[in-house]
Amino acid sequence: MSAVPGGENATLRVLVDREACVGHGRCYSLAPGVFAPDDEGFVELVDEVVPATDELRRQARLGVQTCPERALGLQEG
Amino acid sequence: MTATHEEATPLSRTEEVTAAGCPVVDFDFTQPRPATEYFTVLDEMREKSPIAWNTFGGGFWMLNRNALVQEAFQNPQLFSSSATVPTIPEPDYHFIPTMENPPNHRLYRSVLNPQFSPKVVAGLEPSIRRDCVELIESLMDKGSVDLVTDFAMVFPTKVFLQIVELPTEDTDKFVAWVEDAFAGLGNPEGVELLQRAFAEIRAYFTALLAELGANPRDDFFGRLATSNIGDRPITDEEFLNMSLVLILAGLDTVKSQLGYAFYHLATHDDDRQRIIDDPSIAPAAVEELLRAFAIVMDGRRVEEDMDFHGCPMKKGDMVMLTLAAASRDTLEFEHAEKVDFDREAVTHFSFGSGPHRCLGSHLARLELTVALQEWHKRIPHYRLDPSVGPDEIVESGPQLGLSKLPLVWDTASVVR
Ligand code: HEM
Repeated sequence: MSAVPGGENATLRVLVDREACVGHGRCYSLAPGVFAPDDEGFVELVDEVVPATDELRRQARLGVQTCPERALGLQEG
Repeated sequence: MTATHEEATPLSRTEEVTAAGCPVVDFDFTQPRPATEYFTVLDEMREKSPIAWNTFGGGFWMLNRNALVQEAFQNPQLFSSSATVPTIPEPDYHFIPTMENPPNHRLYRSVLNPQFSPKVVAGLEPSIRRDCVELIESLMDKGSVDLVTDFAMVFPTKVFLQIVELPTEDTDKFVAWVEDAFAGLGNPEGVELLQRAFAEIRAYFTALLAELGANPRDDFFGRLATSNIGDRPITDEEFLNMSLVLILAGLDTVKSQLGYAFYHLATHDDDRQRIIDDPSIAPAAVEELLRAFAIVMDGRRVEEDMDFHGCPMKKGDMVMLTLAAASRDTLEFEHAEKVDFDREAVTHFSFGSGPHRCLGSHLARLELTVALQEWHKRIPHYRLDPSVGPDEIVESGPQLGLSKLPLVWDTASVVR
């Protein structure tokens, strides 16, 4: 079976607009399995590709959705 | 009648705004009102007037919806921080980093951010908890306090002095300076108090700077004194300016936020019980209380003539970013005007947004979380002092905060 975009087996990547991040810290507080703070409090990714577990995928979506600057996005497939 | 002449008096600002179809309000944010009334008044204004021209003071715009506030925060070239108090378009003072604009602003934040980062703040938790417990234990047998002066002002001051490694014996001095400075904000009679407090803070940090010059130290102010702004060393003037700003930004804000948190919990038994039963919900509770009670009435200055969502803004106009209205925006949140600890993801601007987003947000969140947890472990049941009338607890802007919060409890219910 091949991975379908958006399907359960699709690769999920988080996209970060580093210019837009101002360090609100909502992502790494709510989704610490996917996002982490750097030394100034700006966002870093724990893994470039979100590991394919339900919990980490849930966290990735939550973190992206909560960003006040819309500095985060998701790429599936 | 020679109505054909071109000499007709120019339209007043109010007439011009009305002609463009924008709402006009007369909103005096300095008037004391009963606790939490400003939030309700601004809820009503937001629903009627997402943008309004306020005739109060010299006149200024108000942005009352979440999306509009965010647009202003994210566009500093149009909405600059060169003036941040809505009634003062031409300030004769300059605060760093508050009133800096990009790209220079970033240079100052690069120096400050690492010292207040989430990692650094997390490492401070044990000492913050210790300070908090010590203070609560000194109060719990009293059975009554003014939460604002006895706890909410003292706790963040102690924590701050610990973090920056200044003597905690100076707590009372800092408390008095901050109270005098904020008493003078938006109150002409208080100007003298404010100026004296500023002068004394400056003298304190001038002495500290001299001491650091003689005996360099690797602590917060030691590092600040030897930091680089871009590719040059920080000046004495910048050091003194930033020190003052940290004191003004970091103490009274936490005090006010604690006041609203405890006011809500004293008057909402169900929410209080949830924190007593499960202290691990404190971070979510704090986030929601920050959203529901956004205390800062922020300001920006318009840098170009423009049509902003149908309203004619002019270069030099002041704009209030009404965070209290925006963070309870009904377009953004379900039952936006209610406190609900079960919201999953809360996006609010109580700490501002864009480049000036609060430097101390991680510290403030931790202080608030620790305070809710440790207080309710020891003093779970308390209420507003029934001998104090509801109209005696008041608030006013531009930084909302309760004048006092008299609480009482049965000392037999205290948990040791
Ligand atoms: C609950 C408590 C707090 C609230 C509600 C709060 C709120 C805010 C807001 C709304 C701003 C943005 C102002 C603007 O854009 O014009 C801000 C900026 C700032 N805050 Fe806080 N603050 C809090 C606690 C603290 C603490 C504990 C510190 C101590 C380090 C602090 C330091 C600062 C500084 C230095 C700025 C200016 C940042 C800049 O202009 O780049 N704040 N705060």
